Amino acid sequence: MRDATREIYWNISHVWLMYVLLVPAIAIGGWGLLRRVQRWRRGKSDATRFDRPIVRIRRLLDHSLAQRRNPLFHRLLTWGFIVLTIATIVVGLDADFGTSIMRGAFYLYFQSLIVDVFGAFVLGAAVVAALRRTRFTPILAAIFAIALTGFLVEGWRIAATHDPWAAWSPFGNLVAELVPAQAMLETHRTLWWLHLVITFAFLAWLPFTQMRHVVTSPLNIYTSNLAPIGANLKSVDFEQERLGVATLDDFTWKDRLDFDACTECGRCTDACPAHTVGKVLSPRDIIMELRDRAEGTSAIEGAASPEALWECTTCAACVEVCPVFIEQMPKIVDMRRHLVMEQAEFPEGMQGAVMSLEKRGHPFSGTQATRVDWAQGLDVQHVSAAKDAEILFWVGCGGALIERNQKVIRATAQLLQKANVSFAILGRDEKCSGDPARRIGNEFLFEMLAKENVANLTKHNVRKVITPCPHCFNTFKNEYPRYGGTFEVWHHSEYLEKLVDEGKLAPAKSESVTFHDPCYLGRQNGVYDAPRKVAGATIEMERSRNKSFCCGGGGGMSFVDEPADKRVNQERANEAVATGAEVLAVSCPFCMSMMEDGVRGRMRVQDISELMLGAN
Amino acid sequence: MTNVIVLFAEDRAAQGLAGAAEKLGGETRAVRVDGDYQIEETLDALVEFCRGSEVVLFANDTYSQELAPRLAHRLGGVCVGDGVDVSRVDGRVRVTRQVYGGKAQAVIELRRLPAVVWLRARSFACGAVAASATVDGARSGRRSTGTKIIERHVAQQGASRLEDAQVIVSGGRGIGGPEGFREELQPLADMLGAQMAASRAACDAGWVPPTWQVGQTGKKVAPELYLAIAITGASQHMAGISEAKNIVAINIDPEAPIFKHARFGIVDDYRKVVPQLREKLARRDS
Amino acid sequence: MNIVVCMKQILDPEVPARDFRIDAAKREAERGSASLVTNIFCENALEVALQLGGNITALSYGAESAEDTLRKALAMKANAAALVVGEGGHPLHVAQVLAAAIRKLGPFDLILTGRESGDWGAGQTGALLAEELGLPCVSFADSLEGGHPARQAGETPAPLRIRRQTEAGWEIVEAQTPVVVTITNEEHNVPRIPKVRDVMMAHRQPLTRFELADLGVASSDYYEVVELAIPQKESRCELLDVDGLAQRITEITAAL
Repeated sequence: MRDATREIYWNISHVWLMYVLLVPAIAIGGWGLLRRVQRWRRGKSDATRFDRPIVRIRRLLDHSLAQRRNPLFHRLLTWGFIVLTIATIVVGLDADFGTSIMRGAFYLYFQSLIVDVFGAFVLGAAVVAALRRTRFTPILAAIFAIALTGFLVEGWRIAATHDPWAAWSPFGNLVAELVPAQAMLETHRTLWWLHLVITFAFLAWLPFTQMRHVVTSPLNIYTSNLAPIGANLKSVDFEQERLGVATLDDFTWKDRLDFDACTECGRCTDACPAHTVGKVLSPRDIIMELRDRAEGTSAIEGAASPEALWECTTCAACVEVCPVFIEQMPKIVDMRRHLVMEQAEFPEGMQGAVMSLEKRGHPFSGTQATRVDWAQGLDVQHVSAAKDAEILFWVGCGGALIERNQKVIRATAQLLQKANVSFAILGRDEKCSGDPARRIGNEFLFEMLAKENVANLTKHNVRKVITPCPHCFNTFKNEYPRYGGTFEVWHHSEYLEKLVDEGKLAPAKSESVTFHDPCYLGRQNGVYDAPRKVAGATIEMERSRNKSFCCGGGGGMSFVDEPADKRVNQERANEAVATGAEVLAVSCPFCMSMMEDGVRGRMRVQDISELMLGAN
Repeated sequence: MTNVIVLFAEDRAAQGLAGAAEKLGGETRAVRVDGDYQIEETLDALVEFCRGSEVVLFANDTYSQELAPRLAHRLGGVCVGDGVDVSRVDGRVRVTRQVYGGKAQAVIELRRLPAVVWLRARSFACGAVAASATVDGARSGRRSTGTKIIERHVAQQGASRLEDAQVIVSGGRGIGGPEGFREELQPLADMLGAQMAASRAACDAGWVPPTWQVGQTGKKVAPELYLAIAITGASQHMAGISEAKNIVAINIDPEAPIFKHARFGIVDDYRKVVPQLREKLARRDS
Repeated sequence: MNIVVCMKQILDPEVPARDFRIDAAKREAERGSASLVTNIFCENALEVALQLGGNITALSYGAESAEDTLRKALAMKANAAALVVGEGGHPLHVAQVLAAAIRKLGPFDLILTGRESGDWGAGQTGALLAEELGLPCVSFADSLEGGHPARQAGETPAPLRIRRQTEAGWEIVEAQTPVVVTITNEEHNVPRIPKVRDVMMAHRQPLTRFELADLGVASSDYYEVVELAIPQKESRCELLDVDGLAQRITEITAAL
């Protein structure tokens, strides 16, 4: 057993030809990759992407190697190729560097058995992939051919050499049983060269197709954003010539790497709520189009059409589901920024909201509600009067100025009072956090509001903030630090959970409640359990937690009218109703409006605080 | 005190001006502007006619509104418009009018004569006014006045904008279907000479055209009378009618927020109320 | 064409009724938490000027804060801006001040104002301005065409074609410049959203400033507000029977 091995290059002459053919293969493939790398490097600079290497390596192991987000067949395909590559390297070392690795137990267990099994994985995976697409694409055909010819070569060799160790290569052995007796040597030789040519051609071809993802995806995963998704938007340098992204030149190196990492799997488009209800937005198509466009050309005309850009709710389902960590949604916002700030061309409803934000600090033009209507009869104090209040209760525009939501704010305030939490409000001095402006693309207005709010809160010595609005929560927590605002920020679900844990309040008594995860709290900030606990929600919709389906209100979409047959909120409302639950629990003012509208009385819609108030 | 009432041809709203003149006391004459109105020419003619009067009263039509301030200036007087009441205190004319988008009411004392006032329609009870004199609105002593009205158009019925409508009949989700709009609300609107509108819910349901939508993401209207029929009155809808002067609510739900904003209302099923309302209105007309 | 657009800064007319307060002694609205905005009809006027084309000056008479209004006008691509700092007052005083400033800034072919302001809504300033300048006036216009200066000597400039609204419909008025036109809103003169770059640039542009004293405007009597109050509106809806409702409806519609 110790001398188990096989003869490298058995039956092959003119081996030098292999080295000759290797040159163009590597040259072409290398040149292809180099061109991509140069394209990335011509991109603008991006935020730091090489910090915390341990975390990044861990992510790489999870998602590039273990591939947690991928189905089994693809993982087997990847591991198969890795094993085959290692095996080939071993052959190369033994052939050209005088080593003797391919010998004995190693030869049998690894080079024969494991390699055979993983080779079979590759073959099988290619077939599964083809079945999923109902056809063999050229790439899949090539992969299949490589694996097949590999087995055929092995089979012919085993048959022709009467290999004593044949049983250690079960699949090669199987082939050997079927090998005809005639022309064994000639056929083997032909198959060997065929296998070589196909593989070399594949290597040369790789950077020019989606297959480049074997190189770009690990790079992309390594350099991916480590912050919560809610922190992913780039800031704008107003000294620059152009604001936002108008042409391919305006994208950063990381954006360009994102384009090249795309495997075209389409999971982002499948997850996109706008696409699901029949709108044109397709994150995958945008990424692919941008990848294939020449530099200097418009990013928007013909690539990501304005129509599609204005359908995005910024829910980030696309970002969450991407197996190679592409950030589609932030690029949509980047392109919106150009349309809004450079061209002043964006949907009328959003224009009205932005104009109102500029003029009066909230987006709800025409409202007759004041910011303190909800507080009537409650003994709630302004921060200037309650100087030793521990916490600022930030109400948000949606909470204060939309009548239905005023009940939610009241309920939350009452719960805080019952638990003897010392808090104060800004009342009429509250201005919009700026989230709608930022998501619509007016970064200039956002910065103005952000700076004003940070100054205002600092003036009142605010340290801790509780807010029932996930958009305000995200903005305060992830976006205000850039403007000097570092506060301890709680979503009301988190704080209410804390009060429950401390025994100061009881959670809601569970009736038949299903919880709709708000995008900006759940997927974008990782908070899933607190609201469920507080609301006593036990029924789960299929699309829940990080896979929650957007209510349709984010990204400025709650200010525009959608066609009646293409409503994101309707889709989600139907899903909620279908659970059969009596109550749909929400924890966001946008979700509340959107879900009440979509549900149309078929079930009760309540905020978690309203449910909890019922138990206290 | 000498008062002049200025009438433009076929101006029925001017009938209330006699009551205002009566309240101010003194002698009143009425002058009618004949001929094709031209801005500068009519102004010149009225300046001549009104010289020496102490009060000049106009109605709220376009021509009155544009001439009143300039007439006052030429005669060395003062103009106040959109008045809802006039009075005389210590010999001076005072005018009451709404300001700040109707949120407040001001009493303004005029410090010069003549006092030139244009009044809101129906601010005083009807009283007959007969013009005892006329002026030619088209001719003037001056050679060239610089402006000439060359086309005059009357808007077709029903082609006017919802935003300009004085009376609106509007339906919401509670209407239940297009039939309710067609069979109950439209006849009511026809009786009142009103335009039709709807809340977003009704437009979304496809019961009415989307151009009828009033609200945050719809048209913003400012009618004298807004009939909100089976409309809940959520703030997104209210945002479109915040300038409505009188809101009437008909809704089966006594808790509906619309009742907080309405001036008059009935808590009942619109299917019962609206036919009865049409009947009563028809009887009143006859 | 040289155009001047008079623009007024006012308290946000959309401030909710519950937040609206009066200073009874000063007889004016309290600032409270209301924002300061540009009167919408003045913005419509600027939009009309921009669509017509020409050398546009935005002019405002008001507090220092009115500079905001002028910066926004510059961001919308007005060519120049001028501010008269002062407290405002009755329409005749305002018209006299604007006329004096216009004489210093002019000559202008076209003078635009909004039809009325969203606060006091007197609707007179444009008309009185025309009288002060000795010019004709066309009111309630929503769009303008033509009027551009003669290209050659001896040619008369093309007349301005003005479309203006009446309660019955609309009229087309031909006018020779110079003329004063007051503007009302219409779907085609909704003020454009400025580009952010233009907003940033607007802050660096020069602003002509006048002190009231520079303009030599004599004080004058016109009218005085002797009372200002918020009428106590019952927020309770009066619930009626069908008869009563029919009566109320008839009363309201008869007055129209």
